[in-house]
This record gives sequence, structure tokens and C-alpha cells, in this order.
Amino acid sequence: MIMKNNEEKESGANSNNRLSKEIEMIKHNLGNPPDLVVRKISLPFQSNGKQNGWIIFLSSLTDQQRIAEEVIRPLTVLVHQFKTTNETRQSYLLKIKELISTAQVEPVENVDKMVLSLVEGYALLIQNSQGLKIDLKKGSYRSIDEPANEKAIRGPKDGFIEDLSTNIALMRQHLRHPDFRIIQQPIGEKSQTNVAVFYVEKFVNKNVLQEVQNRLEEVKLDAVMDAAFIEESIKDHKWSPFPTIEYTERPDKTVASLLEGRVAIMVEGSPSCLLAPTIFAHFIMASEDQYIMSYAATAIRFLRIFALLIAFTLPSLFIALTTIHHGMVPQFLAVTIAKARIGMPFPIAVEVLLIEILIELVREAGLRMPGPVGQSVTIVGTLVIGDAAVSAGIVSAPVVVIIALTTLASFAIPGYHTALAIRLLRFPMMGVAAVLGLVGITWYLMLIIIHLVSIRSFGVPYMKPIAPWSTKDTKDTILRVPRWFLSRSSASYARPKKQS
Amino acid sequence: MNSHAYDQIDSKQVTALIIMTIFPTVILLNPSILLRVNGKDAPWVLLLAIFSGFLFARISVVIYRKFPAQRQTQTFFIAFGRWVGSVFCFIYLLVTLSLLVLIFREFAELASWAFSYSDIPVSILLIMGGILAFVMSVSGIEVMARMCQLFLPVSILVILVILIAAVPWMNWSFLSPPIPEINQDLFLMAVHPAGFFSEGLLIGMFFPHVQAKITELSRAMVSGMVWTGGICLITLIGLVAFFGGKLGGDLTMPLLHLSKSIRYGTFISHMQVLLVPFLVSSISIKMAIVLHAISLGFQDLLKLQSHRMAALFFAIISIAAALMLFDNTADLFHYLTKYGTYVLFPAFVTLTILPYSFVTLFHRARNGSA
Repeated sequence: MIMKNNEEKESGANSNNRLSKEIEMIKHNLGNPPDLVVRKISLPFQSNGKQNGWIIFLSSLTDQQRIAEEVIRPLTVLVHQFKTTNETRQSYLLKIKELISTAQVEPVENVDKMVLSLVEGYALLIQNSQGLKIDLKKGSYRSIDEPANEKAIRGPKDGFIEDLSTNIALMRQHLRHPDFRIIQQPIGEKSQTNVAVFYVEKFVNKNVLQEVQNRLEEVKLDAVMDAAFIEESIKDHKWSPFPTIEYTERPDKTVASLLEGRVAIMVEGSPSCLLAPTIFAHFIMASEDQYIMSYAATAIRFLRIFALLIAFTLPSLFIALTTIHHGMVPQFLAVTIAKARIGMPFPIAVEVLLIEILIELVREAGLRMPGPVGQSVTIVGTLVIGDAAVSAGIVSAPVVVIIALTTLASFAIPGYHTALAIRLLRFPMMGVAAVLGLVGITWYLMLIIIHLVSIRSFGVPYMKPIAPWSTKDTKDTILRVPRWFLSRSSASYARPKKQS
Repeated sequence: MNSHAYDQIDSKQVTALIIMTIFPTVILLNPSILLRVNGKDAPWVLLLAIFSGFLFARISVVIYRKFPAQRQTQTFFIAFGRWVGSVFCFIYLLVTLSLLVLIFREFAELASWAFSYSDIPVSILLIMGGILAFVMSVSGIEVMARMCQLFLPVSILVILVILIAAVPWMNWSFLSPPIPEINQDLFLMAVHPAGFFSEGLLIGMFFPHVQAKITELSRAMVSGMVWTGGICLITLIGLVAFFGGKLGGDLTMPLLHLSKSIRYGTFISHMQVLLVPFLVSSISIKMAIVLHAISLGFQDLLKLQSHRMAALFFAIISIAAALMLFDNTADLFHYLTKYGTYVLFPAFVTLTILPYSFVTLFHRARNGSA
């Protein structure tokens, strides 16, 4: 029944001639790739007994075994049950569709759409210029694991993968509610990547949803390789170092966000899920907070805020106090620092900068190296080089301690992009501290805070619930009150006004 | 997003704005003047001034009810017409600009005094303050209100912590006798702190941005005055109990001296490190509020498309004036006590209520006035 592509025999019928032209066009449009498979198939039902059809697919994207089982076999086995005559083209294809056991079978009309379906992984069944696209995509994805960057001691261990339909399934497992909605659209002029928007109809703020859709429609990209491409295109305040869209790889966190009224965006081929709107407080929250005792979670959140302040200001404060405001340093501490600095060749500001750059280098090298080697590099970098630098008299021990504390604190911030922004903004502040001291630090921090309170994420003030203040929203942002204290309207920043 | 109304504030933010407009300078400079003139009776004088604060809160709401959805500067045009209104509006803005110059200088003096270990020129400090005020002003009243909400609780908390930390060194006998003799001088002395409370009238410039009913607005204004008065009164009582009447009067910024004087062992010996950044931030927010009011006023006066250029212009003017008009803190004090109390603040209050009085007395309500 099936013949190889190179064994195709052109029949004299007009319809078969037209068919070869379409196949030629498809081949031409795709550049006749080696993984393109074109097979002739004898279709039943016609009054004259047989009619040639064609099955076309890309072997790299489509599951050949499923083609045999779900398309070819039914057509072969059930052929005798359908003896009809004088079928119109349309009803003929409908008959064929009934025979195919694959769930998703849709008609496809022109050559362009056929080509698009092929590159999406569909198999095509073509007869008389009419076609059916059959969803027989081959899945070769990694298994569902806990996301490496969002590990939790307690709570679900599943994480998103690169397959969008698997990710949708993961979400549905956590949220079995009929109000759960998905809007899918291709984005990327060349890549035509599927981008899905998720929300819960009952809870979503319609303004935010509309805004997300509008911004997605305006995205002009050749290709969408990852959710980061979408994030960069649709985020508010594009020049701001602070992220206005949160991302996660955890289905539980995504579902919790959807129930708060937020909108999630996922991209085919990316395990990252974008969440909007996002407020600054989201970056001190971790999924694990929901699975531990509420007062412990609240204490940890305060600890993270403290870590954030240390990560941002400690080196600058150290520079300001030791170079300009000596009198403010307690006497014994000042003596200790002075003793440690005897014979040091560089001013404190330069010392701090050198160690900061060293730490950043170690961190970057550790990320790029393979797992075990990366860990070794980090240990060697921090312990050996730091100790050697102190022993050699290049930097003083207090500076190493300050930078180590700062680095440690920056790791305690759950939001990677926020930590990144803080690392970037720390360097100019050290310069300002060296020149203007505490006045400079206060001034610089004021500028940063003005920026933070002036930005919004999809219409929601970024510093909510502190500025503007909202007592209701502090219950699960700055604090983590017990669950029985939380009303359903706890996240009024994301909900429609009538529900908040 | 068009669906969201931007540059709008709620009644809670009005309360925060009014506190931030009054309290930084009242707790910083006012205690010295009050203590110098009134000694241990200073808290009673301040109490009288607080009542004037309620009066100012009431006045601003009454004016807004008379001229709904209008800024203070726009009321001049409604009451007096374009030309005469422009003259009054210009005078009103000049008086407000004088206040801004004073606040700029206060900012520089505070920063310079508190961080006196470094020799940063006053001009640099003024430019830094000017940049902050300008950035906040162009960001809009919404941003300023949020800044107030962010800084106010922490500033108040830090002040309370410092006052509580100073309790072991306080001498409560400094506060006796508890009730002074009520005389004419006491009321006269209350004019000076009342002047500071009159700055609350400036919030009237932002009433059109408030998304609240007039009753809520009125409540927010009174609430703001209660909080401001409470903080200032507690601070002043603490200062009297710590320094006594005479010594407190000799110090330029008694609260800062107090924070510097607290010592717990060798480690906690410089609590001004905690206080000063918040005071500097609070004053810079106050600068921004006044600068924003002036730039909006000039936008009305000159029918400008945007207030941004006006904000930049008046920030530069204020920096230059603050640099040239005063040589040191003593100059600033002299100006505040001599001109501020009896010329600047009364002129500001008179000009604020002028359109309302005129319309009410002569029934010349126009262009949508009630």
C-alpha cells in the first residue's frame, strides 16, 4: 500500500497531476530537506475502487510509528466497511477523518498552511488539493524534574519542561477548574513559536489580560527562542534594571499566581513561565514559604529583606564609614580595621572594588563550568585566592569579610533578576560613597527608590503593598499569615476592582 | 495602560503628604527657636500651634469646596479674572518660592552639619537636593505620595527609637511647672510654629488629583494635622526633658544633638547615623512637594504645556538663591525668626484665603465656582 518517495508513479489522472504540483511546491518551499518523507497511499471509497492520496511529514518531527498505527492501519483495515460512491471532495475527506484514530485532525487548504503544519510537526494527508493535518508530533523532551533554581525542601517537586502541552498538563493537574483558560497564538515571523496565555476567568483582572494580549500582538520578532524574548518585548519600563515580570519553572507557583488573578505566559520550547503583573515584594517570596509554618515564613521574608539591604549597601557603607566618616565607627572596630590595613597599597574603595570584581569573576566562572568543576572553581576562588590576597598584603581581611557577607546576602534573595539588578547598581553606589560618603549613599538610594515607586507592572504599582499602602495585600507578600487568615481577595493588586 | 488612571492619590496619601510637608522642618529647626524664646513652656506654645493646624486643614477643604477641581493657583483667576488674578497668583508663587529657598537651605545645612566629617561644599549638597526634588516633581504627585508612604513610618519609628533610647538621660523636672500662666505672650509666641503648620495649605494645590469624597479629604487633612502635631509635640517634650529649656534653645538642631549624645557602651554612640538619612530624605521629599506646587502654579500662570521645564527652572533658581542669600545656619535662623514668622507665613496664609474671601464677600463667583 505504501510506496517509497522515489518509487512514486504518476498516474494519468488530472487530480494526481495537480497533487504532484502541490508536493513539488511544498518541497520547493522547504528546500527539499532530507527528513521530508512523501509517500503515496491508496485511498478507498471511490466508485472506481481506488484513489491515490499522499502522506507527507518531516521524519525528525513526526512519529512514524504512530502514522503506521493511527493512520495507515485504520485506512487498511476499515477500508471494506466504507463502500460509498460519488462522494464530493468535502464529504470524502470527512469520511477519511472518521477513520483516523488520532484525536486532532483538521482540514488544511493552501500550500502555505500545509508547509507551516509540516514544520510544526503535523503529518499531512493530501488528496485532490484538499488536505488533512494530523497531530502526530514526536516528543523528545527531558523528564519532569524539580527546577534547579527553585528547589524547595517541602512541596511539589515537579517542574516545567520544554514541551508546552506537557506544561499545560502539569498545570491542569494542579488546577482542575473549568474557569482555567488558555489562549494560544504563534509569535515570531520565522519561528512561529506557540505562545500560550493562561488565566482563571473568574479571578483575572480583565484590564491586565487585555494589556497582555495587546502587547503580545505587538511583538515583532523573527524568532522566539525562550520566554525571555517575550519578557523583553512586553515588559514595562524597558530600560529599568528591575524586572517587572516574574518567571518561574514551578507549576504550583504558577497555579497559585493564577488563583491570585495574575496572568501566566508560556512559550513552546521554554520551561520558564512568565507571571504578570509583578510587584517588588514577589522577589522576596519563595514557593517554599507556602509549605512551612507561617511565622517561620514571615521571619524568613524579613531575613531576605535584611539580606537585600546588606547585598545592596554594605560595601558602600563600609567605604563611607572607613574613608570619610571615621568618627562614626566605634572605637575598637576602628582600631581593628586600622591594624588590618597597615601596609596596604590601595585605598579602601579600590580594595573593595578589587574583591568585588574577583567575586563576580568567580561567580561567573562557576556558572559556566560543568557542575563539579564549577563548585571546585568557586571554592578555590573564594578561599584560596581570597586568603592569598590577604597574605600577600594586597587586600585587608575586613574587606574580604565585608564582601563575603555581601555575596552571601545576595544569594539569599530568591529573585535572580532582582539580585542581578542589585549587583549592578551596587557598583555606582560604591563610587558615590567613596566621594560623598553617607550623603552620597542617601542621595543615591533616594534616586533608586524614586525609580522603584514610579514604575508599574501592567498598571500595578511596583512597590505595592507598601507604596501605595494596602494592608490586605501585606498578608501574603511581606508577611505570610496563616492560611485561614487569608481571604480570597488577598491579592487585590491583581484582581478586578469589584473583587478586591 | 489607558485603563488605569495615573497621577491620582487617595485620602491616605493626602495624610502622608501633609505630614511630610510639615514635620521635617518643624522637628528640625522649630524646637530651637521655640526653646530659645519660650523655654520649658515650649510644648504649650506648640500645642496652640497645632490647633491652628486644624484651622488650616479646615480652610483648605472649605476653599476646595468653593472651587471644586481647581488648584489653589487657579482660584485666583476665577476670583479676580485673568489679569488681576495673574498678579496675585504671581505674588503667591513668589512667596511659596521663598519657602522653597528656605527648605533648600535647611536641607543643605542638615546634610552639611550631620555629615560634618566630610567637607562637601554646600553648593554640591544643594545640587544633589535639587536633583532629587526635580526628579520627584517630574514623576508626579503620585510618586511623591508613595515616597511619603514609604519614608514616613520609618522616619517616625527612628525618631521614637531615639527618644526612647534617650529616656535614661531625661530629667522630667525640666518640664515643671506643668501648666504655665495663660498670657498674651503665649499666643503671640504660637505664631511662629503656626507658620510652619500653615505650609499644610500647600497640599490644596494637589486636591484635584485626590480620588476621594470631600468628607474623606477633610478627614485626611485633620488626621494629617493630628499626626504631625503628635510627633512634633512628643519630640519637643523629649527635647525639653533632655536638654532643659535654656540649653535646648542654644542648639541649632536639638534633635540631632540628642541623637549624637546618646551612648550605650562603646558601640552605640552615634545614633544620628540612623536619624540623619531619614531626615535628609524627608526634607528632600518636602522640597519636591513645594517645587511641584510651584511648577504646577507657573504652568497655570503661563499656560505651559508641561510643568517639567518650570520645575527645572525653579530648582535652579532655588539652589542659586539658597546659596547666595544665606552664609550659614545662623543666617537662616535669623531669616526664619525675623521674616518667616511675621512676613512670609502670614503673607502665604493671606494669599491662600484671598480668592475665597473675595468671592464670598463680593459674590463674584465665576467660571464654575460654587
